[in-house]
Amino acid sequence: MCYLKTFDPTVPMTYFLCVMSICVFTVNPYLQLCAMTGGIIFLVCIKKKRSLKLLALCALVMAVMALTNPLFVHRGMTELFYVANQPYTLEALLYGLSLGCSISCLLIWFSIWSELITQDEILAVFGKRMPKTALVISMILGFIPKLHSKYISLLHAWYAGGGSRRKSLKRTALIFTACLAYEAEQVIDISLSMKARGYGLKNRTYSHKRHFRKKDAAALAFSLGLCITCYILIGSSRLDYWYYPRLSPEGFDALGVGSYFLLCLSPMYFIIKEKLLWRYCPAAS
Amino acid sequence: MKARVVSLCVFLLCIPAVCVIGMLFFKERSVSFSCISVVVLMLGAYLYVYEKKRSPAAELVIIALMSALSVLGRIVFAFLPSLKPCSAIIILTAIYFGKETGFMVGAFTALVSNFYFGQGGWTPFQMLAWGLTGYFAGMLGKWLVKNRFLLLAYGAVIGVFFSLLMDLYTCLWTDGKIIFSRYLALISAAAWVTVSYAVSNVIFLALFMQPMGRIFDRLRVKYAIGIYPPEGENNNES
Repeated sequence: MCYLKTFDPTVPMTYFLCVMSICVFTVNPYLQLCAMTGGIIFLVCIKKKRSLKLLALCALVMAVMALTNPLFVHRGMTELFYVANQPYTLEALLYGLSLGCSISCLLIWFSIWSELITQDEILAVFGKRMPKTALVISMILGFIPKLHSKYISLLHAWYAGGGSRRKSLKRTALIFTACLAYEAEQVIDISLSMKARGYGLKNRTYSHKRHFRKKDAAALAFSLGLCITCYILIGSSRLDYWYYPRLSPEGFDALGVGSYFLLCLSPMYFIIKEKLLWRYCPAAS
Repeated sequence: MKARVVSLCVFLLCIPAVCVIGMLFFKERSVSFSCISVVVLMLGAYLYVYEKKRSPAAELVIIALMSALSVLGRIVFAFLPSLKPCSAIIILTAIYFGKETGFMVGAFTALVSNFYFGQGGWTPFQMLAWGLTGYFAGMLGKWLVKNRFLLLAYGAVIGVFFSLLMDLYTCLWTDGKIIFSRYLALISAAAWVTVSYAVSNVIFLALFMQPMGRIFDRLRVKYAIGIYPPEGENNNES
């Protein structure tokens, strides 16, 4: 977990994009199973008990999607029974399960993403390319706590003036707009001082604290290589799978599924290595 | 100039290319892949064009302040079930500061509030939906600022529009294509949310219309920020 955080933030971002772009849009159950397994193991490793709630939610989503999909889609050969004169088919049920699986994969991988990648790291990546956007986002993140503390102090002033203690829409709106009125002028002062210090002039420099090291390049090349292999195999229809009218008998390609499985499980290498080092060789870690 | 060329390239080349790639690679879910990529590309192109334009520092800080304020509104008004002031704040900002500021405030509100409430595949859609809320409000600003009933009606309509767009996203996400019966089922399941968006827009627009108008008028008179020249209506008595 700590070791994973030592990478340059572009590496985990690219990795997550590689994994998610495949698992969300494919209908191949083998690939989805890989993403699901990798995601669940990874999530449980880094979030421990806190992951149970999300996993329960995912199970619920999958069950609901699987059971409701045949009510809307009536394709497929194997009819199980009839609901309101429309067939309820096994293929639609399984297709619903696969839909639920891709939504759950998305939830799980995004949860891992938000655990590993912080706001600062996102800003560090985009700050160089899009300075204005990064500036605005970091200003927003700074203004929120400032506005909140202003709101609290105005609320206390309201109490001190003998205002009612009951929460109401009118009171909150009043204090909220007072907050805006106070901060708006302050903020214009900020903009004037920005202007005075040469905002928007040419030759502005930008300091970047992180270095892109060899290990980052290796990890990046590893995940991109596996991802591109998968994409080529998907493009050459060797990983095609279909549910209608009958479940397809093929769709299992050892190279494609194997490389995607490796891609999904690769972070485990660092986690296991770190655990072993802590346990057996404290001096080396 | 260069920015305009790039955005044209995005619209004329990248978007069709993405659609074709989606069809080649993900046959069953090509529609959802294409839609989501198109939304992301549109946002990217807009941000890029904005990035290259010269904009005064005051505009940037106003964008940051109003986005922060609408995120704060989501936190402060959390005691009211399912009433959110975000759209109302975005609309009012757009009316007084122009359509581009409105778009940026909407997009950043969605992006930053999802730092607090959870990022996901819905973030780009939410950014686009709120951005368009602001953009249209800025386009219609001339009329909305004069007629308060028009403003309230606009709030209600845009709330419904926002909800429909998010339902479309859910529909695309679950099916990979638009099955109309499922879309209708989703809309009827989310009817309560749609109504609450419309109602909260109307309530918060009615509440904030006068005080915020006064604050923005003051900024315009004191610092010359905002789009309406001071001549003409000045009936927001202070």
